[in-house]
Amino acid sequence: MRDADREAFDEFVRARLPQLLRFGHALTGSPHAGADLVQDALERTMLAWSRIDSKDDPEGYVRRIMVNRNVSIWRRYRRERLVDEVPERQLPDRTRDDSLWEAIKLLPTKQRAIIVLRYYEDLSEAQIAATMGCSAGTVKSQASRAMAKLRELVKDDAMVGGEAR
Amino acid sequence: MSGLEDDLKRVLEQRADGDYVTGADTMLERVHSGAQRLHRRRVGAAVLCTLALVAAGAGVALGGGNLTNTTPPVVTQTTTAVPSNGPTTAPPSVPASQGVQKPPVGGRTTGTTSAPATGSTTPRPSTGTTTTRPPSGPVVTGFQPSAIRARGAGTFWAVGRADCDGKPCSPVLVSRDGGQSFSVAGVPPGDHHTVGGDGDYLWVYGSSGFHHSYDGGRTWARPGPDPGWVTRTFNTSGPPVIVVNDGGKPKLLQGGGIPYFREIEKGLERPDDWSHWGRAVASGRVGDTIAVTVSNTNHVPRPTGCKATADASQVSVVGDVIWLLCPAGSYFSVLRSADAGLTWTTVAKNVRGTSGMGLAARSASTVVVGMNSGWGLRVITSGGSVREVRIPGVLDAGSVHFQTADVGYLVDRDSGYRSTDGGLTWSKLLFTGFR
Repeated sequence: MRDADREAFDEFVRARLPQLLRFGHALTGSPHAGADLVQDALERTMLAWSRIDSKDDPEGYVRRIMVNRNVSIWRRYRRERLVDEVPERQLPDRTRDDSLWEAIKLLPTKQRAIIVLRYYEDLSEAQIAATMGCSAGTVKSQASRAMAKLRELVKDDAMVGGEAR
Repeated sequence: MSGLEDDLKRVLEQRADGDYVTGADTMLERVHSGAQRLHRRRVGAAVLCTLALVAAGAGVALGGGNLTNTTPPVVTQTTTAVPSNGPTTAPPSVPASQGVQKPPVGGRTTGTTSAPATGSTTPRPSTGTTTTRPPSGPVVTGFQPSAIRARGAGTFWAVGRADCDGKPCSPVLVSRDGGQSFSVAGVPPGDHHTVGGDGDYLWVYGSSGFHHSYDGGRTWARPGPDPGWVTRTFNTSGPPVIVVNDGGKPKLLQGGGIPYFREIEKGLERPDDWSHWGRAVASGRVGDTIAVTVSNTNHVPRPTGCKATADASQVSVVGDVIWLLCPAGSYFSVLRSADAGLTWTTVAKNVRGTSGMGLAARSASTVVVGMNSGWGLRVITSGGSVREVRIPGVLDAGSVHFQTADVGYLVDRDSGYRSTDGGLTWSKLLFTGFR
């Protein structure tokens, strides 16, 4: 990598890192996993930096990598995430927002990505489809399933003892 | 929007908006070392793959295979003319068992080059290696544009990625009817993401360096010496005007001289942006403000009144008018000068913007700002009106540029778009139906 390229890349990272970390957090549900995801995407972006034209959108490029890598990393590690015991129930005094945040984290990775891109990034179905490399129909059906699951999870949680807003 | 949707927006914004302990320097340190590791892994995998292929080839040879049948023939010279504006025809596929192979795409010759095509307006310097497209041409499928450059209102070229006879390639397509139909102008060797042209003179740039053609794309050559790493290209007629950056000060070069590329502007230091319309114009920081420097004016940076921010300013020139995009956080202003930067008028102030914007002059009275994140365009007039234009399906309109006051182009991800009404409506270009 040429010095000028490296300078431009470093400048981009310094300028956009907070936004990318927030996006990674929303995508993974964890600030630490989000930071790892950002690092992974930036490593790939750095190697491809010279191919990214100055008129391109490097941040969009990084975000696309993050969405797609999040799915593939999750596929690779999902076995490690399986647990023998049921995780502890959440404390009963949490708010509806807590319940919703936990429910988002319980969504399958693709559905969570769609929810984050739709409601955090404000992207349209077509834009989400382009980012994730699937059809708009798939985005629509997955979003519908995700919303149904969220409604169910939040409702169940409220019945167990969650505080309704 | 339902209650759950409102809640989702709020919760995602609140929960993801935490304090992040990872600082930029720490992250950069990790990214640099991680990228090196990743690069080493990729190189190692490529070497292993090559060794496996070599071993497989040796196995075939030792097993009685005929090496002459597995080695592509070398194309020495092709003299059959291919109409630059007509569709090429693919040769009928022949089973490999018959022992006949199609000529390779991008076969190399050394030494001489073919005679220049008639109608070329650019003097032809001596060149190094030449690559000749077979007269029949490859079968190009799955074209995805990387860049579009126009010559007139109806003629434009697109370079991108595709499959040529099943192998990755970067063909140049040409349309002479405003995008109604396309034909393959040529297949330069390597991977390219930038294209430009003037009649039969075409040029491309990408990871394989700079290549040009004097015969509408039939033959391609690398100029000598290579101009270097091209970071910007300009939509000029005649010889290409490009910005190269090899680690030092960026240079604005123009083709056509001896050596082929010559520096045409020496007095500008690391500008934010360049534009070129007969003369070079650059914008950059001078102290706390953005200044514009115009060539042939003793290189005196002329203050614009735009306060310098972390985001880069942009310039776009049409005729005698210079337009300047002045970003400020999430907002931007647009300034205009009609006297080579001596005086400036702010025509639009504090317009909401995005990162990665693009500025494209349409005429002396209208300029267009392309934005990303699906925000579309803002069409701004010298009278101060700002018109919002949404482009369905387009996420990033930063590559927008206009060939005339009405005809413009943009490339978003893997699709190209064309407008004939100054950017108010856009048609998606369908790169199909050619061979």
